[in-house]
Amino acid sequence: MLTKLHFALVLLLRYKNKHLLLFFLMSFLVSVVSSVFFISSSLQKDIAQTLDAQADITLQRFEAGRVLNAPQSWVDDALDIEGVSQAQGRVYGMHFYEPLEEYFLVYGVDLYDTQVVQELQKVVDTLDTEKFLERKNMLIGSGVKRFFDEFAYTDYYIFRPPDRSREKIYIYGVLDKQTDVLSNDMVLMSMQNAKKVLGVEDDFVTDVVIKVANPKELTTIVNKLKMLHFNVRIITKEDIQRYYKNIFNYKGGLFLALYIVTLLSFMLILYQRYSLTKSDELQEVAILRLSGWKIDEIVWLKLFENFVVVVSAFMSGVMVAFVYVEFFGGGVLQALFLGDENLHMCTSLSVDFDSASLFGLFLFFTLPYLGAVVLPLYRATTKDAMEILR
Amino acid sequence: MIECRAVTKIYKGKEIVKELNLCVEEGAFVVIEGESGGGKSTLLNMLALLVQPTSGEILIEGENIALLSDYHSSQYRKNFVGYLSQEYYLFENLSVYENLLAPLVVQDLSFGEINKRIEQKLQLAHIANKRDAKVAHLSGGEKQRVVLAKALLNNPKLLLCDEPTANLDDINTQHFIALVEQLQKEGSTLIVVTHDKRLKHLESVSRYYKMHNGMLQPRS
Repeated sequence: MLTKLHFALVLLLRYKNKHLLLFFLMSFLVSVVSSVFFISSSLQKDIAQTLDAQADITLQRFEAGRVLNAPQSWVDDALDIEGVSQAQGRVYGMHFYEPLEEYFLVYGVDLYDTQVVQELQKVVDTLDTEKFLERKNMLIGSGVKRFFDEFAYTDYYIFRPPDRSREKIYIYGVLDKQTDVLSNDMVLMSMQNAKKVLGVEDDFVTDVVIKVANPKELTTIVNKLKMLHFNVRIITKEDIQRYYKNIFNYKGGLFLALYIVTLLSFMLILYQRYSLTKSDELQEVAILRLSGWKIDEIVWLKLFENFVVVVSAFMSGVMVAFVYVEFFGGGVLQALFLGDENLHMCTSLSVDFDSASLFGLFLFFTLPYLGAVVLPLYRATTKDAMEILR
Repeated sequence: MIECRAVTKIYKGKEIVKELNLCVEEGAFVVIEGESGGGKSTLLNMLALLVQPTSGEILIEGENIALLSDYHSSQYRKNFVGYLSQEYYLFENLSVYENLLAPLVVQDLSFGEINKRIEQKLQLAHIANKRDAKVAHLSGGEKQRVVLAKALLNNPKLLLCDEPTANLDDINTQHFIALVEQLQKEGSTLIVVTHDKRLKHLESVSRYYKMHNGMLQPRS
């Protein structure tokens, strides 16, 4: 057994150029497909987690086709409705970052209140509220941090509100990477500071988020809200989820095209492999037959040789994909997936392993490949050795 | 004893070997000559089980080798027969040593035994100095000697040689002749296809045949 293994390794090393070429091609294809897997499953997980923690209802003031700031009193109005367990005014808006001509999402939170949005509550829970409120502080998303760092805004940043005054806010920390897909371009600060930065009047909020105790009562509550304030736009959690799902389905189409291209390339490799098997490797088989090797011994030798190549190619492809997504944020593929519609800055992803898909991918690559090698070889072993050598 | 009974081989519609009958006793030294395409190599290939006869029987010690299973035909090639082919059926990208490794790794031998046997046969074939050279870099004569060393690896009871001296110089031809005569003395059966007069006229040759149009004709 050991001597056979030794011989198999000798063959593997002697034909390393041929094997290396296949190794790199396969690695590349596996890394492309794995990157897509990692990116899509990471994004879906991140978004599902973040959206799950959103408010059940978002209430906006909507007049003449425009969204306007809503009166703070709408919060109390919502709380008066039976079945509403929590209601909270939110202050948020986009701030134009002049040095890079980018927009940040400025978000105001009432740190003494329980947050309706669970992700925010998690952030607030980790904060030392007294310390945070000692001076004008803010928490920033990792994308914002990168842009701030570029222009040496490491301690503070001076916002220019709509009235062109100056609002100096200190950088307190960076938001959790887990929520990067949604918080990447976010700047979180106290409600008062956010109102100053965004130019929102004191007794107004951007919108009202509402939590419902019993999901079955959601429709009734939505109807009551509509009757209470006729000039409203109501967005439910399901609406937001549907919106993101639509975006991802559309993006999924692009990836399907990528998959097809990869699949065709893989088919080409299989065909090439099959053709190679027809020529020099068949001669190898005949020489082994001539040397007294049994059919099953030859098949195992070839299986081992190619298994080593295909498994190492698969593993290296997956590792490259992991490094690409985890440490380089998925680069071009992520840009292709996220585009500019909802996020305009690159996010850093936390790789999510879907072991079943990965195993499926492993089978998808290894079985046809090994089949393309072994089947013609097996057929050759059943022929006269001399017929092949001629 | 090796016996061919009405052996016929048809390849691509052409009868290469016709109703051939041959009987070779154990320890005999048989020389066959004949024109190219006469079926000599095909006969050796059939005896080495590399080609199946279209009809007829090849009996070795009473057993029809054409009917052997894959396991038994591999055992036959591995343990019984040594084949010195006209073409160099070698792995061109492997070294001489690695080429000789191929037939031995399927025999239950330790690394020590394998190395010992390879060294021994390389010495016998006068090619020990090229042990680590890549086969692709060897001359025709050197490759011929590698094939000889490979054929001798399993200490064959039946040695089949197809034009064994075609690429050898005089000195190496003399070495080869001395070697086959030694093997015959040790009890091996030799069937040699050749045009080389030096081989045909050896005293140790027990039978001499001419092959013409797929048929064997005994010669004195």
